[in-house]
Amino acid sequence: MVRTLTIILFSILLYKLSWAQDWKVLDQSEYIAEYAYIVQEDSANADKTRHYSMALYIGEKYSKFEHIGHYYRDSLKQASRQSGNNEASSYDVFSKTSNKPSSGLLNRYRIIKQTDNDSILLTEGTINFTDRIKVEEIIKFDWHLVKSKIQTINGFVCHKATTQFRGRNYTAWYTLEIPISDGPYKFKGLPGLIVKIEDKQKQHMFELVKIERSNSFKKIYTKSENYQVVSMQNYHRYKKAENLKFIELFNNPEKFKTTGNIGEITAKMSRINNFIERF
Amino acid sequence: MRLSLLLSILTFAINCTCAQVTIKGQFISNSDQLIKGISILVHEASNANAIITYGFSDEQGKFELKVNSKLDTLAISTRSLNYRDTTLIISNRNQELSITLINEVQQIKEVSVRGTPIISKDDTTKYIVSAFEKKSDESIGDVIDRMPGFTVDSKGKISYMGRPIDKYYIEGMDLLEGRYSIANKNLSNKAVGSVEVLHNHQPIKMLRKKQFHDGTSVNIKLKKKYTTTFRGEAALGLPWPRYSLNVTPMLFSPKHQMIASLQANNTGRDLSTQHHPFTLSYSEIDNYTNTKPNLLNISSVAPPGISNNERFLYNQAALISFNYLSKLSDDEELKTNVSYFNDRIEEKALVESEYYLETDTTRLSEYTFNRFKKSSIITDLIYTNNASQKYVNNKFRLENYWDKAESSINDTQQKQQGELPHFSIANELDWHRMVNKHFISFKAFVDYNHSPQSMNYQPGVFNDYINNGENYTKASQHYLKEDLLAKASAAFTLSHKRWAFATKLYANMDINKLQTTIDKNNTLVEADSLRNQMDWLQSEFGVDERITYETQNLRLRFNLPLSYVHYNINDDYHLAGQNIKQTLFAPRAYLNYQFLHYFKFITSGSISKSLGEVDKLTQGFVIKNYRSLGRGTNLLPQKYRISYLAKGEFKNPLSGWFASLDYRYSLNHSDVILRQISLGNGIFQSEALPYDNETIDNTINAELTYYIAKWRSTIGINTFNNYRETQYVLNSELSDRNSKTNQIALDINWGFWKALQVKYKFKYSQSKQVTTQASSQYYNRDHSLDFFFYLSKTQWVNLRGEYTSSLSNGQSQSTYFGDLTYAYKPKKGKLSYKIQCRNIFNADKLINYWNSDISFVRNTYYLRPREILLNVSYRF
Repeated sequence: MVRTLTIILFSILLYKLSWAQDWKVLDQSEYIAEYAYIVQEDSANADKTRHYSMALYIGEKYSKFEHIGHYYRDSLKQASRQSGNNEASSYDVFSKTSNKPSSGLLNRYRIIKQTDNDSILLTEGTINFTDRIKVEEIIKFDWHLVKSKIQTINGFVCHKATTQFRGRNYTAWYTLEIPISDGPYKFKGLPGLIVKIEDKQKQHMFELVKIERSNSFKKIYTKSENYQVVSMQNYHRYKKAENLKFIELFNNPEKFKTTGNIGEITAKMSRINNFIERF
Repeated sequence: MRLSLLLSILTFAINCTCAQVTIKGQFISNSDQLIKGISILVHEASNANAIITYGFSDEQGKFELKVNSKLDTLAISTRSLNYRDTTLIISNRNQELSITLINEVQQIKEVSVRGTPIISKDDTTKYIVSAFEKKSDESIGDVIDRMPGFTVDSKGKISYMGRPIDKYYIEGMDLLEGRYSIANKNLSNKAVGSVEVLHNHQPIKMLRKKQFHDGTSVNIKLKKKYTTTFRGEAALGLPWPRYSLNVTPMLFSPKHQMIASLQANNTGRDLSTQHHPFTLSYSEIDNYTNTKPNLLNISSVAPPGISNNERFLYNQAALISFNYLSKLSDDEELKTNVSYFNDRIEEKALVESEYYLETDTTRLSEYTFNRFKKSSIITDLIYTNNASQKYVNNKFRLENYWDKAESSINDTQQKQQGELPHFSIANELDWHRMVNKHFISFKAFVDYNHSPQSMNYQPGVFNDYINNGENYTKASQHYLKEDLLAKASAAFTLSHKRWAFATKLYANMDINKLQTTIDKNNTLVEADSLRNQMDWLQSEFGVDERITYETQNLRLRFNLPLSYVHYNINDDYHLAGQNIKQTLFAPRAYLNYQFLHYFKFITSGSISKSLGEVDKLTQGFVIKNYRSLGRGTNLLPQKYRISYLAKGEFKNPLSGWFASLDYRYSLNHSDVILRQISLGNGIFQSEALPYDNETIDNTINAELTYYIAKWRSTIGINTFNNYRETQYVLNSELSDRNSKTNQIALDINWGFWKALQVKYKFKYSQSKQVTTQASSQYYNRDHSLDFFFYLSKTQWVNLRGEYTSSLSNGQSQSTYFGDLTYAYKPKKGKLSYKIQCRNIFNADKLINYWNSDISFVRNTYYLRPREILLNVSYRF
């Protein structure tokens, strides 16, 4: 009996320790808002849009926005690490996350916002599979409220507001029914949660599809170590360069052998060019 | 200088007209704490939605708002998750407020809008399976049935927007071809991520985006790249012994796919639908369907018009099926399908027929007991190379049937017993190649068929013809048909911009042999009037010019086939050798126009001239069934046909509306008509007679489905209306027959509540026939109501009620059915249990009606009794 208890206590301790090593817990999320992100990835082709599921984890002090698959992946990695299966073959983990993040433009990094008035944003992610990059920035959105424009979206009475952000004009619909001043991606600062936001050219659109209490108090964490801090412009440039490097690599048959159609892969990669922020 | 002055004046002016007011303040909680991060709104006092400005409180709980408004009074409101919503009415002037907020945790409303479960992109509509599935679903077919736009008939044939699908792919591979029912009925819906509908899907890769194909195909997208599923099911029940067994393992990987199945039951589950392919694969060999011919038959009974054949099918079926596909390379596939099917079916019915004769009406009442022993094997070996520059498909098929049938009328009044075997071996080669944007294709098809069928009648029938009017004990009709068919075609397609010109040269040869003899008490009757011995060579040479014009939204196609046919017929007994030469022309036109994204309009028309079947030239009598003796003439019918179709489709997956409306017209003209001569007592002799006659058909079909995503519910309505005019000859009188069929059906699938799902179906049909001799009409009305109670995560109950009624000549009959199912699936493990009581009210018979040109028939079909089944299944 005592032995079992010791083992349990020990494993809890070990778990806490292992958590503390890699992950820094910032907050507990109280609500999870799920957004559909519909994006035209190729700026030249307006007919083709992709659909991603994104999640906004809302805590008291912080919120985190990322592809919905991240959560499952991270928690699975965590679980397999606990079980002592150290390498936990990333294949295993990936295969278990059916909704895993794919090659989408926003899918490789997470955005952490401070819920206080002046928002400090933190964007973390990987450029290729190894380089960890972090962007810290302060963004103050200049929202213009459009009076008496009301629309019901997905059951919420929404008000209209517009803003400009990095090369695009946006229209946002926020609801006072959810007094949380937050939203998808980097957007925030309205008197209620943003239910829908899209740019004027309709190339990027986020829409709230689900909001629920997070019953298990999911953690909002950051992996603060080993990140290279850069500016958003540089991050963007770096990403572009890496993309080009990939395309070159794929086009070099000596270095890269694949059974897939290389032309198709590189064409697909070069078609993903319509980043949400424009510099 | 001047400019700056102007500017300052302007600024002053603005300041003047819109005096800005500053409202400052601080939030304090009722427990004397400063509150930060509270959102504060300023809006019109009379209208909370007219927001003027807003702000947030800082670390000290302070806020400062600059208001530009002409109003005298303003309202300020605060909203927060942790404090009670507060609104104050203030006057529009500079002021400093101190607002106390009361602690109160606010619950925000949790909302889950199901992400649109139907996503349309280009030529693909994707249905997310999880949005449509229910706990009681056993296979992907159950879920597809619920998806808007789809209909699955009782045999398992899938139609999309009223049209049968072309291909059923699993992960882009066509493992089963027309036998897709095996997967559709056994593949667990849990393994499937989505169902994709591929519109205008061209199965040949090299023709994609180059040659338009009108068909719709379905692709099953699995959740995992490597999927192994297994379905094991065993059931036992009462009345003893009822059994059902199903063992179906499946394996899907990017390189291999395999489905094996072993099934057996005597519970009324029809396995033949998983054995016989629905559609012949994408084959342009003139829609040649290689099915077993029914040269002779026992007296058949029309099955009751209810969709659920578990109510009436007395069977004892077994099926063994093995399907394997191996991808040899990116483009090459090799697949094998082997299917063996065995069934013993019993049919019991009381058939009451009224024959309308010139002077009187003959009424017959026959208690019919039919027994079928079906046994067949179908094997396919298919090689496909579907590359971007070439296409090769070779399909080899071997079929053998060992079918037998027995029937007794009024116990011993008439016994019939038949051997109905059939053997077929066929090979089809399809070869396409692309040369400088142009296409060359070559097709070859060889098919050999052999069917030596025979039927015995006890006591002997048609005494006047066979035994000089004397009674005798046994008549046997033998019918042998053998043929070797070879078809070859070569085509060359030239493309120029939006135009394509395809020239196809083809040659068909068909060598046939037909032999019929009648035995009287096991000895051959040598009269030439009772036997036939024919052989013929049927050859056809033709050129088919196809002109296509395509833009993104418009497809226009003309087919101009011109052919020369030659029939060389030898008839040994009737000295009626014939040499027929004809030139035939059958132009067709087709238009497909898509507009405003959601609409599609299709229209087509054709005129064709053809010759009748040589099989019908049997001038010696053949016993078709125990009531009908028939012979042909030496006239090969000349036929022509005019047909026209117009169809409109509307599809908006986002809003959930699907609608289609079509109208079909056809006129069939023939210069030979069938004459029926009454021999009294419902017995007829038939023969062909040269006479120009026409059959005209008009059909209107409409279908409308609305899927309400918010309520997870589907409402569908469809109607079918047909009007037909035809002619027939009874004895020596030429008569007209006009018939009208109208049908309307309503289908509601209500899934709004999590714990209860309701399905309701209603069908009403009426059929009216007017002939020179008599008029008749009948009506059918069916209601079915299904309740699925999802009691908990592990249990569900299904209660089903059905009411069916038919009315004719003031006589009305109705039947009630009830079924109850309870299912339990423990949280852990892969086993699940089900107990089922079918036909609770023990309804024992069902009445239905049908019309022929000279008779009106009322069938009383005997049903399966009340049954209780205990079912254990293992699934992963």
